[in-house]
Amino acid sequence: MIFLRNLLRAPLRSLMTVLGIAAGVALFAAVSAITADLRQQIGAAIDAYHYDVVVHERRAPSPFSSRITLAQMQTLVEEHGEALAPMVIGTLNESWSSYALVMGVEPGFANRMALVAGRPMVVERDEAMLGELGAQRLGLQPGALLRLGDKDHLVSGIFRTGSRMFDGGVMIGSRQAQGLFTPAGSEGHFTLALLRTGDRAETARMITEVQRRHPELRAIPATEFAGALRLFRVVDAFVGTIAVVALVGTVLVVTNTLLMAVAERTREIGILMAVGWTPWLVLRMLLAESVLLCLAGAALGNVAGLALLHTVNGMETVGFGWIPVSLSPSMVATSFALTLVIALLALAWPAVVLWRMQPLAALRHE
Amino acid sequence: MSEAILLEVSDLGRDYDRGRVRALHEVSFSAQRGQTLALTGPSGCGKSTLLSLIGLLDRPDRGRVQVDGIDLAGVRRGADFRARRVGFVFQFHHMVPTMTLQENVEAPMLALGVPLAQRRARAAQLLDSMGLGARAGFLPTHVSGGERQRAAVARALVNRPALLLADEPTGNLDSRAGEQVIELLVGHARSQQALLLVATHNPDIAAAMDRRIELLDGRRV
Repeated sequence: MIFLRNLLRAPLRSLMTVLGIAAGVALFAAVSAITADLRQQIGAAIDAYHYDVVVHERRAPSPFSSRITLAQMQTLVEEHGEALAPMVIGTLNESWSSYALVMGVEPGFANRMALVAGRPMVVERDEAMLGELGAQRLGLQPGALLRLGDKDHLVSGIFRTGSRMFDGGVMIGSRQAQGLFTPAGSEGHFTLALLRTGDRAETARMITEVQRRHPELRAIPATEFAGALRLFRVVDAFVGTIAVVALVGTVLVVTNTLLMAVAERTREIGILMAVGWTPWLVLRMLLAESVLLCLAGAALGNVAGLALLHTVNGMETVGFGWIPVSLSPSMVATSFALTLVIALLALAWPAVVLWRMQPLAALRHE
Repeated sequence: MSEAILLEVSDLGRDYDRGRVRALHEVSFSAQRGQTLALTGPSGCGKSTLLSLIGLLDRPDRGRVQVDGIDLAGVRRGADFRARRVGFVFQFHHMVPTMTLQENVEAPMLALGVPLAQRRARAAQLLDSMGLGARAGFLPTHVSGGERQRAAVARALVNRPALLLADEPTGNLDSRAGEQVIELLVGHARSQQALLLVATHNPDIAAAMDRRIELLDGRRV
């Protein structure tokens, strides 16, 4: 109660400090949630179809910017048959979504999709299957028309993968996708190929085999796919930077608040030292205040982070399903743990001030 | 040092401003348990400086102080010494405004790690004995000046210190409240066999003490 009374003595300053902490926590939680969720979404989608290996162009900086020629893919299909699923992946800026994820697939893959409505598309026609989330957001049912490039595609079915990112996208035949993503006059290409192997030993053998036969390609375990995406490497660096900046900024905000408290309460601290309190005991009182501020900031920051995710998710430019609208318990726990570290770090400077404080000088402080 | 002597001050000196201001010039005296002493003299004569050095709020430049045979120059843990052996009462009560009277009185016991239940009971008992039982949960700003000073006396007595140091304890009170505070201090000093040193301008208070030590310009007169 004493700690609360001390904080309420300067309510506006305490509130501003809590808001400062909350802003740092919200930013950290939201950005971390987005990157963790994207990884999980991609991993979940590949996992759902039981593919074990992802093959992409060796020189591509990221699997999504890979270009596998038609001839290379033809050779791969001949070598692996039904176990191989060629895929074209890209994004389009359409009137109905400025970041529409489009996946071009072969008939075998399309026919294995789990549908919640309609029928599998006929890949030779201008037909499309829409992810469940995209269908909900656009209010489309099988039989509706969807504009892709300069052509309308008949929505034949609605699929569900369990990955929000993919369920916010659209699936068409690989030829149609090549038409959308290849400039006129250029030869079409595939983005990547998924390969089913069976077990871990076979996966390792297959990876070695693909890379031996096709030095221009790289094969990686599907479990490492998300980590291989350049997007994630950039986002990881970005999140790391934000975390450090948020941590340092928040520590400075809390330190400033505690230093002001020490300066304003110098005489009271002198009284406590006169009756026998050690600097440790005074610091313990400040620690309680620091922890209280940080926990309040963490709680508010998580709520604000959630609100931020909802807001970004509602932005039309972001694309359906790319943004999570919840924070995992581990993320919430991490943010609380981080703020407790902040509460401790913020005490360093006030501790030095307390240790240098002489009881008599503190008592006479005006 | 004789067994009855609790405090021995020998040639005590203290300078400020790098030696340019001599606040105390080689003051010596001794006092016994259960005695009451008045430190008198005009403002700036060194009364508060002397109390600060005896209570280990400050360190002397010359001379030494012995309390119960302990030379304070050798005491490294000043906070522990103050918590166990010294009770301070200041002119302006010096209560922590965000602590209730009860919490203020408990503060010296917290320094000694006294368990919560014991702290509560001891503080409540002392506040009751000072007629402040009903005010225990009040913040200092919500009680009168006299009540605050009585609570400050309770805080000074709570760890049963051997030394009670009061610096103008009635300076900010009306005469009735001032008398009550002095009665409490003297009564407890006698009953607990503590040594009471009161710095005061007030001749009536000085007359109520067993002995008087007069200072002028930092020197004992």
